[in-house]
Amino acid sequence: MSIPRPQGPPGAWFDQRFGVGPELLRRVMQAALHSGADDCDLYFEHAASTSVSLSDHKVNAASTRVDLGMGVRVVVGDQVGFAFTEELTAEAMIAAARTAAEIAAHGGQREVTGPVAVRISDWTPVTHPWDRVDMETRVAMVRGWEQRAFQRDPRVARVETHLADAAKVVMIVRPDGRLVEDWRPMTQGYVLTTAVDGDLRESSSYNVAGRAGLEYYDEGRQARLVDQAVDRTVFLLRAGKPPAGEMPVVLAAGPSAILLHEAIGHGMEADFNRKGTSIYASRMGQRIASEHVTIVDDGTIPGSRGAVNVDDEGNPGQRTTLVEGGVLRSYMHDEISARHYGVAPTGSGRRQGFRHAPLPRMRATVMEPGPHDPAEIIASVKRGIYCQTFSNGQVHIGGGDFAFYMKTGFLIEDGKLTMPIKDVNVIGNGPEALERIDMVGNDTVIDEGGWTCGKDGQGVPVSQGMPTVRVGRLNVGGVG
Amino acid sequence: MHDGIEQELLTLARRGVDAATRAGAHQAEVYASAERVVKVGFARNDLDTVSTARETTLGVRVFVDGRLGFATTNRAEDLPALAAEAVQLARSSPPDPHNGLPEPIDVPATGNLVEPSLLSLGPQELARMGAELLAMVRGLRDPRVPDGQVSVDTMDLSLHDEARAVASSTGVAQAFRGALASGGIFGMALLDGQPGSFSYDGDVARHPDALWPLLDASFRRFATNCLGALGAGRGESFRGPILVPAEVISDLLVGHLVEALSADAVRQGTSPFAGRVGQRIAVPGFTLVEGGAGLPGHPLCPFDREGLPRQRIALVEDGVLQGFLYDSYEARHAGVRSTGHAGGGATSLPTVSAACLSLDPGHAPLDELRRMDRGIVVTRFSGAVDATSGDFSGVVKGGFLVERGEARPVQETTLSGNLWQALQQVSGVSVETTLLQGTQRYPALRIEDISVTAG
Repeated sequence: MSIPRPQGPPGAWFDQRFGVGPELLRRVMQAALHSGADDCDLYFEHAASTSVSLSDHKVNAASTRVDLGMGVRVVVGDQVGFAFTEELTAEAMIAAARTAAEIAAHGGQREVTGPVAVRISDWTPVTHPWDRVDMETRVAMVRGWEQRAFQRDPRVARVETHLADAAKVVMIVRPDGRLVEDWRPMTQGYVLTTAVDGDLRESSSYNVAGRAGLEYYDEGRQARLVDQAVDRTVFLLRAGKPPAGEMPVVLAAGPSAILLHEAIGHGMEADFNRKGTSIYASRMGQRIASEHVTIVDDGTIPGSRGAVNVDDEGNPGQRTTLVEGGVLRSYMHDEISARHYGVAPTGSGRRQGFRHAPLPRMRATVMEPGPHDPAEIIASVKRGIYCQTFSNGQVHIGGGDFAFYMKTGFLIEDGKLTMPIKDVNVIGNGPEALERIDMVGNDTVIDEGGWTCGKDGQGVPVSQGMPTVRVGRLNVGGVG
Repeated sequence: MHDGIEQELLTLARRGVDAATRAGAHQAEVYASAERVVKVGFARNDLDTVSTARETTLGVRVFVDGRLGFATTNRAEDLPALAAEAVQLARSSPPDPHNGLPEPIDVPATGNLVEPSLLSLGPQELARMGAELLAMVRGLRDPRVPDGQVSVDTMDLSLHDEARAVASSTGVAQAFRGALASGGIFGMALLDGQPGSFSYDGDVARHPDALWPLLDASFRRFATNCLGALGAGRGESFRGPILVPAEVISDLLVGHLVEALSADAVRQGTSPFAGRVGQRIAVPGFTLVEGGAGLPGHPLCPFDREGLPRQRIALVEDGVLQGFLYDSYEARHAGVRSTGHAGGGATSLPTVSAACLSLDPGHAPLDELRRMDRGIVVTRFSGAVDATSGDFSGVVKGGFLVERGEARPVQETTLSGNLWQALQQVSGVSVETTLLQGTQRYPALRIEDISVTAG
């Protein structure tokens, strides 16, 4: 099952299908605010997704998922009351609203204005939506990927392929009367390969993801999806481990941006600063990186996995400059933190779905191009490592300490990439690493892979990008 | 949720099976679950969120000529349409001769696990209990660093009331309801504004009277770890022993071992233990058991995701590999019977997983195991493990360096080695065991000859 792009005016999707019209919305909002509160929102979601997986030529799963419900959030100061229901009846929604309002027993008064539809920009240019794609087409795609993977290298012993598409319609209603409706498509293609050479056995994967329809999978992208998965896997068969110790680290353009997201981006989410847990809590307007470093968090990149037409509090998607020429300029705000800091929300209030309350979250976090030629950056390192891809990591958001697992890379000796290396921990501190970035390439690449950011038990789709950069020194947990 | 909800889910599941069969399924199964959650969250030492949730999920699994289709929804009204869609999906999928649903097997009648007085726990009572626990934790001190104080990043207390049912066209029909309360805490200690390494702990209870003492013990353990990590100094690099307490056993060792002892890993060729049943894979005294329908005194739902009885399986006994964990697909593939270890819920297809695990205690008092000439006490491990080769490397957070029996906190220390070799390098198993989350009971292990690199 797929959810097509709504054709009616904002609000019509839930009104026509489930009977949730303006009068009912006003009653639910009144129930949520009956004890008074500083703020409140109603969030409706109707979602459907389809996925097809293939492995071992035969073990496979084709599945579909449908989800419907609404969440009510009531805010008093920094405290949040939240409840959700899967039944869109007046009785169930008003009961949820009254539960959420329990936290607001001593809140202020807030007037309720009848809903008024607001139109928004659209950063999801879909030309071939998934509701017009049949199952056979999907199955043929994953079979084609499997076939190409086996053909690319004789050492490939096992292949898993996966294609997922999803779309949801959300409606957000706020006490000031704003009613926003948004259609959110998403797709992801994934290939995992295992290669065997003698006693050596290695696995690696590649994936591509975006807010797009079938048109996303042009020939070039499908070929790259498979070839990258295979090439990364067979690379591991010949890679070794670098010596351990502190050394300069060059991060490759694109996939390395996961470090930017985890070790630095989270520290710029306003809730961690409002609560005083981020190292950036008192650094606004101060220099936190070299002049070459500019970082934005951008919800307006067309088709990006992190693109948001509107955030989950009803604020328009936008581009927020976090660091400009090395100086901290803005946090990412939701409504609560924006009120706390007395600034405008940055359209960063996001949630996994109707079962969760929104939090300040990243969208597409990107380091802008700098002045250096990437070849010049590698040539500048006498002895260090070049990190190409990472598989996972751990980060302590408050202090910013991180340990990332570099999956593939190269040793750099006398300015040249030499031995292929794999499977080492790169350990450091995000804010310190940011300060130590002393060369920034002019080759920013937005990673096409699909990442889901987890925070407080909620996953939201994000994207990130960066140019080639040199970090003066980081700890590498190699051999010895 | 009301009395009898699990039987209503079973009726709903049966109706879904009928709908799928009418739509052309040769075999059909519906797994239905309903859940109510009440949760209070604290952040930065204050009440932050109160939330309630109620949800129902339905998963339809069908086979047509050995082809699999799966659909899931949270709306009972959609079930007939979803069942038909699952059949459509199956018709588009390639066949697999090992696909199919299991025949029913009798499940021991253990009844529901609902203590009525637990169900009345509301947000106010959880918030009050949370505030008292928070004050307790914040008041704890370590005489070694008297000015250090715990700072709680997040803490939550919640009630989970859950019903589940599974019915199939082969005759499987099971229903269950259980409720439990849980609490978790995450944070670090501060000394002169400087944070130490962060820590996490938590526990669960099925009776309201048990909740406070369990959380009190768990949160005290958390505070001890946080405060103990303050004032950490530089470590040392050496090869030597590590002491792995019960809380870290799963992250560092057992979690990866159980993954490698799952039949899907054996079938996919990623388990190094394939074909080694009956062989020694660990030191004598190392006994790992999957507890089936619950560890002694801590019962769980008696059936798995496919409605088959969860069986108790000794995976490793006295160091010798005894067998693997199977769901019905893997069992059919291997030509054996399912052990009742299909995991997952209504929104996912069954996959092999363990429900509860224990390692047998040994004979050495924990204090004796800690008295190392030079070794590391691993309080938290964050790293990566290659499950096939067993190679691991990662960082000990908030660990202790023990020298001639004296322990001092050290900054991040990197450990590397091979887990499968480590099973043969266990030099001591503690007599004391710790029950974690009601589903895991472990002693502490001392493991020799691990590479330790100072951060």
